[in-house]
Amino acid sequence: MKKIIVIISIFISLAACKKELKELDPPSSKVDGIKASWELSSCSMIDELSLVKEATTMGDFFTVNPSNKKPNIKFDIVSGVRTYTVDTANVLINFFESPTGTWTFDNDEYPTEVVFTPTVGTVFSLPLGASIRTVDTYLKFKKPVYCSGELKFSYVLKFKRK
Amino acid sequence: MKKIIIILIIIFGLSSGKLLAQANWIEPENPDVTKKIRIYVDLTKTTNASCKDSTGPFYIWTWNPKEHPIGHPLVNGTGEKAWQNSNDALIMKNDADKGPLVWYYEMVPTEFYEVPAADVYKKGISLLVKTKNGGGYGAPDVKTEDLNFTIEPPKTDRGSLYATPSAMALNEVANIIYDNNFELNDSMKNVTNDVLYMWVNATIKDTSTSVTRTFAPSSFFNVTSNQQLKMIKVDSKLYRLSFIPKKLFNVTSDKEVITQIEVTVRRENYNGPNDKSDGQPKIKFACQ
Repeated sequence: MKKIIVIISIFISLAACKKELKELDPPSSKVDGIKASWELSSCSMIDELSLVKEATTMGDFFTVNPSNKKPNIKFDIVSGVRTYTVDTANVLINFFESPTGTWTFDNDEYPTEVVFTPTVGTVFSLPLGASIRTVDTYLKFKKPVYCSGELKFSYVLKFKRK
Repeated sequence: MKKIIIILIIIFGLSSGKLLAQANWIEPENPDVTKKIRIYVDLTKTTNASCKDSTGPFYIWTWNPKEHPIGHPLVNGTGEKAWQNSNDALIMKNDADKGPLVWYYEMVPTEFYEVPAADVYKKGISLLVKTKNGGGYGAPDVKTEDLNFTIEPPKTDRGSLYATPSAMALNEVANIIYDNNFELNDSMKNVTNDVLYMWVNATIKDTSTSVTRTFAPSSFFNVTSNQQLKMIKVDSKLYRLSFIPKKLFNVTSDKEVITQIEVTVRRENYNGPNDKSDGQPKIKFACQ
């Protein structure tokens, strides 16, 4: 009888030790994460022809003239359509080909790139340099530039959530 | 005089001692890793001398910048006991001219490791040298210590003025760097606190007529009135001018392309040739 009580006590103790399982919150929506206005915070250019992939930081170029605005983009969803707009007034370069267009992720849950369909221009995609959840402050892209079919250099773009 | 000779002898002794002590090296020095290199190991000088008494052949066993997985043709060893069965593709050759126990392996690093050149420069190469049966499993190892090779990229002399990225495109950002470390004009050396401007002159070609014209946003003497030509100080002796060629050179026709730009740097306060950089290099446009 004593043994049975001991065994039961052990079982009760073990059961008490079992951790309560907590359910994880659903993953942060990447679609909600990118839906915002973004402004360039830093930019560099990688020489893809150089053996060491030489990088030149040149983000200051865009605001040397105080009247210039920083390159920017706004991702939105209007009536279910994913749209983007770029304010090109007094902006030296638009990295997204057209001031307006639509966008998608390659995968809404685990996006690795944004596919842009400019209103004027051809479809292109930019790989994401980091995750883009609602808590992420920065949106990072690497934009390749080809010439005669050969990759010559890339922009490394870092936008800050406004 | 005697002291000088003694000092010279000591310096020579130290430098030759360093050379004599070299157990592993790469030829050529500062190689282009997209081309063939030779990795040399002098087995008489490695710390772990267990290979010294073996007649060879010897094999490299490498894991950095990348180790090939099982099944890859350049995997280090094959079979259940890979350490005891080095891959014949990794056999070294003896270079008796450099020393009786100097062995080398020839490879094109980017092809051998299947990585970009930048990875090789960043990570270097790590390997050891062993016999085909490297021992182990209770038997003594027959191998050198881990040998690490730091690889510096080839020294390129781009002069004091160059474009980076090297390929410039009409409607993208272009950067011209002025590296004052390479300035040849003595009076322009050490411009650390100067305000500098760049004079740029583009050669523009009409592709429909093949007619060329030149365009400079400002004349040499008026560059200071054009803030687009004021250089940004990047470092103590490094300046940069960034611009979008299409905008700076006012190219409005789709038929026009820029074939080259001519550049020179001058001080804000210009009093004569002493206040400008040496030469006026022409930088070609790679992208039209």
